Amino acid sequence: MSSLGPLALHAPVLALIGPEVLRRTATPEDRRIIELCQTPTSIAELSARLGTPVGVVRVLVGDLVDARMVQVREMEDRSEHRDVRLLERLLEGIRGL
Amino acid sequence: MDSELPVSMKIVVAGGYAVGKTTLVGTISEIEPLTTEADITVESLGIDNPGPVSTKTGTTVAMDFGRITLGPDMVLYLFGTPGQDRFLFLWDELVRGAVGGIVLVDTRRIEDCFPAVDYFEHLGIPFVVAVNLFHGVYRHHPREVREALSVPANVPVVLCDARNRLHVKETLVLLVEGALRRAQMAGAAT
Repeated sequence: MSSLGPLALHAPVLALIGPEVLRRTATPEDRRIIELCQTPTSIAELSARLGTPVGVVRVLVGDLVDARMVQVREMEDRSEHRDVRLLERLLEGIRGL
Repeated sequence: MDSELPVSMKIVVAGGYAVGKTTLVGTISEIEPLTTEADITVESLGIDNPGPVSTKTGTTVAMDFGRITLGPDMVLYLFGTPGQDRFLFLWDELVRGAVGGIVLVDTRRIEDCFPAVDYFEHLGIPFVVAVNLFHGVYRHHPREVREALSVPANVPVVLCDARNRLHVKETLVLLVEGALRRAQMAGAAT
């Protein structure tokens, strides 16, 4: 089990290694996660792309974090959604759409 | 350590079944809305089978969501709530860490959105009521919808054709403006 708390649905995951570094014995799910997370990809998106329920993805990603193969921006303790500067940037970004 | 990871923000789109939530998400999302499945455990309230068998059953609910990249270091996710009120408890997870919510209303079934309004109000989460224009027509003025829902004066009630990108964008702007005002007030208070 991962040392992290529950990962938020929208928490982005980034691979710290390339898929070529994975052992041949790596599971297809782990391989796919490492491939998808070469660019930051959220837990929800991983779940959708893998066709695997969120709960399972959380466990897989947690294990990959512990193995230092991915990093996660852990959202739940951060209160970024109440940060004035970030909300200003969000507003600016949406206005620019 | 997080330098390469974008800030990820989340907005929840709620409302009754088939009110146009996925349409709204798809209108502004840069990707086709994706569906993710969450496993939940439902305590069965059934009266049959009072045997030694567990009354807990696993259920899978589907949530649709979309993504908008707002620059190299910020991503916004829009999550639609599962369509039925009996999954209200699942919203805790959806709503945690959310900037706010959009409650989408179909004026033909206005009561369908009551649970969503109550939920956001109860948790004190910024939200906007968006009256979906089906086929570009509206039957009720936003003022009537506001009265029917009796939402506080600081909650915007707007018309929003879920298929119209500009409408959806304006609705998002209104929501984030409200969330920002609230954050500024909270910051000033401390």
